[in-house]
Amino acid sequence: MRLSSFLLIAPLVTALAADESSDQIARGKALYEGAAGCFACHQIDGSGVPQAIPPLAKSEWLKGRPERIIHLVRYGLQGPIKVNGQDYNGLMPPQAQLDEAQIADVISYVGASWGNRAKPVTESQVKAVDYLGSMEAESLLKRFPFDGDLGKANGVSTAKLADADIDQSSVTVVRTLMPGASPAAIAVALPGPQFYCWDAGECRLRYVWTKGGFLKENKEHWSSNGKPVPLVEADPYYRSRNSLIEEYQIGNRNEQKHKTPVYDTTQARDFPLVFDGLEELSPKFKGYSLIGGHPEFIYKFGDQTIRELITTSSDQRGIDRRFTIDGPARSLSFLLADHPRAEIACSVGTVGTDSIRIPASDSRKFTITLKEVQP
Amino acid sequence: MKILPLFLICLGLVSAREDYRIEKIDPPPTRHDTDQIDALCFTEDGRLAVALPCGEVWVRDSEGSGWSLFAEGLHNPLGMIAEGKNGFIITQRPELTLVRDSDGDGRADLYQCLTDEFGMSGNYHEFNFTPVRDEDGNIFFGLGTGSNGAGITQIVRGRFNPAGRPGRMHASVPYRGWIMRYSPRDGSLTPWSSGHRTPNGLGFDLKGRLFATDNQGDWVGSSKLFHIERGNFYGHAASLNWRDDIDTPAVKLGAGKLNELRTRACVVFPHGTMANSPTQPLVDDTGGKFGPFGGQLFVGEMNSPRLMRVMIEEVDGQLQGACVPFWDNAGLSRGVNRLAFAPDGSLFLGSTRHTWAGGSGIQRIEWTGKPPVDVHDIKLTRKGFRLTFTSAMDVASLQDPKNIQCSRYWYDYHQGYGSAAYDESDVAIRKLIPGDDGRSLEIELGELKAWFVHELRLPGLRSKDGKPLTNPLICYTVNRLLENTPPPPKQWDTPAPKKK
Repeated sequence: MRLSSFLLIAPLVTALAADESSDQIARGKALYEGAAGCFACHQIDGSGVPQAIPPLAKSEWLKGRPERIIHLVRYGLQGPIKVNGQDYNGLMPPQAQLDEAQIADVISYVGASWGNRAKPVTESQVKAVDYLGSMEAESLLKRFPFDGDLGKANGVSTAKLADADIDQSSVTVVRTLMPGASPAAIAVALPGPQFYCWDAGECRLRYVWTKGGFLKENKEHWSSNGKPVPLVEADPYYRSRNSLIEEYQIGNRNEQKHKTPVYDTTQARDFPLVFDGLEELSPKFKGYSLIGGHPEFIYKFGDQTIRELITTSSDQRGIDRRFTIDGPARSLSFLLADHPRAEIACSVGTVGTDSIRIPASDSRKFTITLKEVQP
Repeated sequence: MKILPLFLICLGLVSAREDYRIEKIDPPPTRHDTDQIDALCFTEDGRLAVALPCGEVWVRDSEGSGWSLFAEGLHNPLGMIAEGKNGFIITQRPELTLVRDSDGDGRADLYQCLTDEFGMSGNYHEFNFTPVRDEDGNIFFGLGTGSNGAGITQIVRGRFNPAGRPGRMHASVPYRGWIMRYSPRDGSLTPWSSGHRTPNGLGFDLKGRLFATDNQGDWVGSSKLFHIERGNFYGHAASLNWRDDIDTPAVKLGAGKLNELRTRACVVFPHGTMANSPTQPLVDDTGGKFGPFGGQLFVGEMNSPRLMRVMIEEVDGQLQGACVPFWDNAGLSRGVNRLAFAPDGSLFLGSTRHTWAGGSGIQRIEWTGKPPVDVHDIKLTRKGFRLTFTSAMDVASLQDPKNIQCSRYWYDYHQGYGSAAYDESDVAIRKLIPGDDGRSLEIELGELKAWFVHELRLPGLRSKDGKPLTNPLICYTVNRLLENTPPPPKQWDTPAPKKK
């Protein structure tokens, strides 16, 4: 008697469960191929797009406990990720237009399709996953690691890019975000090599270096993946005045992670050219010309139009900054930062410890030379 | 399972369209190992020019046999137009820049900042999109908002306003989320319209009306095409912090109030159905060289191998209209981001992806001279729509009710990312009245409802000589009716409740 009722009921229960699960998968499929729009990136067969969109088919990210994939779908994903051995680096927006039940449906459909064999996910499982505070694969994996050996081979990718190759016999100009400068920065490599960062947001040289190479891993920035500045392994021998920033670390790629700025350029006050008789004004960037490949920066300050050409100094130990200024002749002080590792000379005027004094008669054309002190 | 899609792809390649041809164009040989095309235009003397994400500009020789490097070092150039014989005006991240070869050696030697009077927070998402020029020579360009997916830099350019920072996409420095007008006459820069999230594409039509796309996301329920007019606010809240008359942090105003301020899209691109990331709108100004769609807009789409076409009309004093695929798959790359007509009337496409779904490379589409089998235009009528066709259609197929389906839905306006399609329902077809020549079809609906997207599906329509309609999907954004348009529906301050 007992046995027979068990035999009768068991298939019924299984059938009901299968029904619920196949309904859920059907709903998930409708969402995947319709309103949720998943297919548009991940493709109708879950195959993804080479180099751009990770596949869902046979993805290890769907294996094991569901919290990781729930978090990923619900709160999005940003930055480098390795899926099935391939590197990707992009952004998946949070699927905030889906409610918890719909997220469960979509994940259950994906988990049961294209060779995946994940268990169905329930609405309450989705509800239980709170935002970790990060959309990055690395944080997700820390909190929800892969089972067993999966984690060793897969997960977070490391970008290895050799985009820093430059021809050191000529000049390379790259506009990009740079550490310790406004976002309108210009990085330049000169023969020598001499490297410098010039800030078009404040119209001034920021720092100069010789060792550690030029820019590295800038492709991440070019590809707009949310990662910050290029890697710059520089130890500048000269940094311009920075009265508004205590310390900025060059080589810190987290530069872009701030919530509020230390200052904005309307507050900037370290423009180095102090002309007698001109009120405090903001300089205006006008662009640059290339002279023998070298940029000559053009900017305006009141009635003065300044052109600044930077070349490698004749002994290759530093840079020459040739200033040509149009407008009424004015005497000026050129402000210097502390420069324990640099020698500073000027073709005219008097070089002091914190400024160069240039009389009006010599103020239309002069060259300031910065050189690294020899140890 | 694997074989079928492959088979379909092969079929697509083999059974090429008779009306248009597509071909790949060799990309420039950059040392930076990319063939993503971020900007594309033609020089005054008709040579193709492109810009790459690594900041290079290349120009192809007039025979189309080789490329030469024109400029380099630009910061994410995302649009370019020719300026004079030897130059381009380029939207790069920090500036609107004139890049010119002044000594005639084929390489740029002047990088003149035309204007940089807008802010940069250092956030990666603050793109600077497509310069376009009006008849008076003014240049319009679009400033993208920043993303809270990453932070900002220690030093920002322009005045920082913390009120612009909350929310998913932000405008913490001036004019992020605005379309700007640069006037070359006096060098002035005018903030033109606000409420843009990611205006990745501006374009004028033949009547000089400016259009811009926007991308689904926060405040953008589904991607859109806007008719841009000075002073308007188009819905994305963050940029309002840079409007003089708003002193509350804009996100705090709430969707109800913001809804009163906003100007609606003239065309909505239904997400997942039509487009997820529309790009540049380009008017067909080829005078018939590119086929029968003169005056209409072609619009790229990042996420799928699709190029779209947009048909606009004025209804009740406002522009509205429909989008339809122009080209799906059949050799087209994903990620068509920039478009330009060549002097011979063929259409050049540049594809990119950055870190989103997309593609790469350059393609060219040419009209063969054979008439497409396609919807030529769609107009709103009192009771539904009137379609015209580019070929004579089989009248019997136009009368078969199985061949014409209509559904409708609307997208909510709210701060959250994207919107579901609400009140989705089928719309009864009351009457089908084909024109005698099979070149038109009146569709009378059971009910025509303002403020709903109407999605028409036309499976089974055939031309007189038996060819299927190439693109049997049209989404018409019915904002207004020909007369007696009811006021737009009330806006919740919170997202609309989800249907279960």
